[in-house]
Amino acid sequence: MSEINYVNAKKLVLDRLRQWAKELPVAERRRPRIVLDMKSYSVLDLIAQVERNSQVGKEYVFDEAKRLNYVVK
Amino acid sequence: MPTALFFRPDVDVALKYGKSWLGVGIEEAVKRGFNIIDLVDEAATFQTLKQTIENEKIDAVILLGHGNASVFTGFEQQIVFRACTNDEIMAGSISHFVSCSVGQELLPSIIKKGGIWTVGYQVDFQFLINPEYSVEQDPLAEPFKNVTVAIIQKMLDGAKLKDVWNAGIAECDRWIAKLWNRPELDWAQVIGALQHDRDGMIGLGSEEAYIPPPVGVTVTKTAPLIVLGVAAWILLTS
Repeated sequence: MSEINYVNAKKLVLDRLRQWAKELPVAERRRPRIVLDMKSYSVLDLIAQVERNSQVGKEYVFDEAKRLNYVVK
Repeated sequence: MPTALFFRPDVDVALKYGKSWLGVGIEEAVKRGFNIIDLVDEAATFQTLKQTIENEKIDAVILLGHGNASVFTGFEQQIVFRACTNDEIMAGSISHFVSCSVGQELLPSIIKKGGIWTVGYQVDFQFLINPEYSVEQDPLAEPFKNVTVAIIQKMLDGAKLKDVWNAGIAECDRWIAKLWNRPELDWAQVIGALQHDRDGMIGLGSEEAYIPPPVGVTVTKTAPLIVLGVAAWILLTS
């Protein structure tokens, strides 16, 4: 696992989320797609959570970074 | 005949999925000859659960609801258990919680108060959905349904704690391997959520206890062969 700081991890994760949004039909981007902590979010909701550094957004960044083999320092 | 209790409130998108998955668990329990108590929607409250557990002998408890480290909620997010409060009613139970983060404090508290064993999650439970499909047919949610059902099936088959936990882990790994080469980010997200749930799945309590399977309803693959053998013997000897 490589080390990454939070700012870069957030950027990496946002890039992937925007790529994911692009893969979906426009109407689907606003519809629920992922359930985190038993609450549903659309891809655009999730991008907003990460942008805002909300608790959900931060946890998502940590999880995604881990999945991509990074440790957030 | 053993009894399986299902607790499944349905008040939002996430719980609709869980309710449907536990519905498949109910079908599995019926197939195996269990009595079913289904506390659904408005009935999914602490009072009803307490009354039911006090009045009936329950062998398996499968619960769906919102949760955090110390709280588990039912219908309209009314508190059912808070760590160290109310959870003593789970003494003597074998259970599975489909809920977020209860593995951090609530499940250890249940075991301290005499719960036999329990399987749940010490992280938030994550899954993917595609609202273009019905809840029952949603391909993005299917792996998560299968993980939940695999755990329930193993419990009902009379497996011990480690084997039940292993069944959940194995189903996560099976889906991760199956989806690994899919290039779409939808499936990458499914893999990520499966890894997350797998790594946060926790089993606590007695390693030896199990739910005794119902007597007299077991149908094995060898049963038809035995029937054929007996029929052939009758024909040959008559």
